[in-house]
Amino acid sequence: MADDDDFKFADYTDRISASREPDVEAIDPVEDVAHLTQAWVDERAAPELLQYQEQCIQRLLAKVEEQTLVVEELDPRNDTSVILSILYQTELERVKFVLRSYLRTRISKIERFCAYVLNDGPTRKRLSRAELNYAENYSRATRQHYQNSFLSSLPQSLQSQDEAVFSRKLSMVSQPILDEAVFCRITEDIGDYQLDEDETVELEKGQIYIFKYRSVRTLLHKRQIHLI
Amino acid sequence: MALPRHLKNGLTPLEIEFLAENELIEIEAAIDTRTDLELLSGTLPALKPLRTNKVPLWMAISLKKKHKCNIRVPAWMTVEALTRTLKEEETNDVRFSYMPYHYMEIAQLLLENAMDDIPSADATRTLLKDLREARQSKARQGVHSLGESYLQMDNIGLMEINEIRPFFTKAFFEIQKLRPAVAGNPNNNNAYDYDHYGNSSLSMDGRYGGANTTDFDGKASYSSSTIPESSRRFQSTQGSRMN
Repeated sequence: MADDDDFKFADYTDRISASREPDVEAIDPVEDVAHLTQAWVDERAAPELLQYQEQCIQRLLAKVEEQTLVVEELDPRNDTSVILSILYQTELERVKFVLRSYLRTRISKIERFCAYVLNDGPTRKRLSRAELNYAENYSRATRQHYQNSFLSSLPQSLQSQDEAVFSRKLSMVSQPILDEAVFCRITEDIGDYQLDEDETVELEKGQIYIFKYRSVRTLLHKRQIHLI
Repeated sequence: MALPRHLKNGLTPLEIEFLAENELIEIEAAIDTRTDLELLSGTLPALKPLRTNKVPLWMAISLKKKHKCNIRVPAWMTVEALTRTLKEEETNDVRFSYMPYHYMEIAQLLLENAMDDIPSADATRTLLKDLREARQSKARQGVHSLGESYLQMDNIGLMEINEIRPFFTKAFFEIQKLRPAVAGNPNNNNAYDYDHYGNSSLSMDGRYGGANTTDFDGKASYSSSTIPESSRRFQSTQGSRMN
């Protein structure tokens, strides 16, 4: 754990390990690219960290490697092969871009809500092993840094770094704001859905809404809606 | 930082364009690939000259740049179709007319990269611009009906959402903050609570939750004179939706 300080994308993908929590339902491998793309968009839009797409990403990484070999074997003297090679490589880059941006979005949320992510059971379970590792190291490093650079010269009573003062609203731990508004697209007919105690709305495929993130969280976890 | 600051507020226009490039479009290839295209995202049948193939837009553009294909303009992007849509858009001031989710991005990419495949490109461009302006003002009207728990905006495009996103999400969030203040009123008894409630939230709910959720007729206001009317409206129309 201690040697994880230089964090590189390559190391990161190497260390993604066997599934910690199986995906809610299996995805058709053909859909992997589309699925990851949506997972990326969701992750960008959602205030909290979502479930890490372990299996999908593992399969994609294997496919990317395979495809890279295929591209290398294409004959550069044949015109058609050259075109194929360009197309294949373009797609490879596109997939890698999504993957990188997906991981970076997650890391940025981990950094922002570090203490919360580590202490909140359900959120913690949504991390990959490498992400958990990163969160722990990040937490340790920042705490130590604050302690060394100025907290140590303050009175003991002011040195705490994760105290909830008076109420949750004033907690030192930053948390995702679940009441944030999100735009979403309904991907299957859901029927009447209870938003709040006194609000029901009939959701049909293809509709677009603005909702409070909190009220559609479960639908997102069940993949019945897409965030946009 | 892991994610630059400008990427933290939703997707950027370039990223939206990236997503639009995954949409399929018909091309007439000028090359024969002989083999099927084994892509990560699935297998596409081999490209053959003089046959139409459906390929992702990014591929169509890449081939186009090498003069290896002609792109077929999608049916909704012809001058006739756009004229019709624009008319519909202007006559119906309640809802958005149907356009593909990525219409703005696709149109933009085609106009940029495949001008010569678009018959009367200039007319198309003008129509698209008019359409966009009509829809934009409609989207802005939507802010009148922005309430506390939801707002429905069918047929709006992703790029259009992105334009209104910063303002709408902020406004939506602020409106919610008003609710606890009302619910937590110390003088609560049922009747009073209801009135008060009507004042702060139902007057807005009535408009979007009731009559018609894409209904951007917007006469939203917090003015107390709207209380009785809108509370009634909410009760009488709740659950009956016109679309």
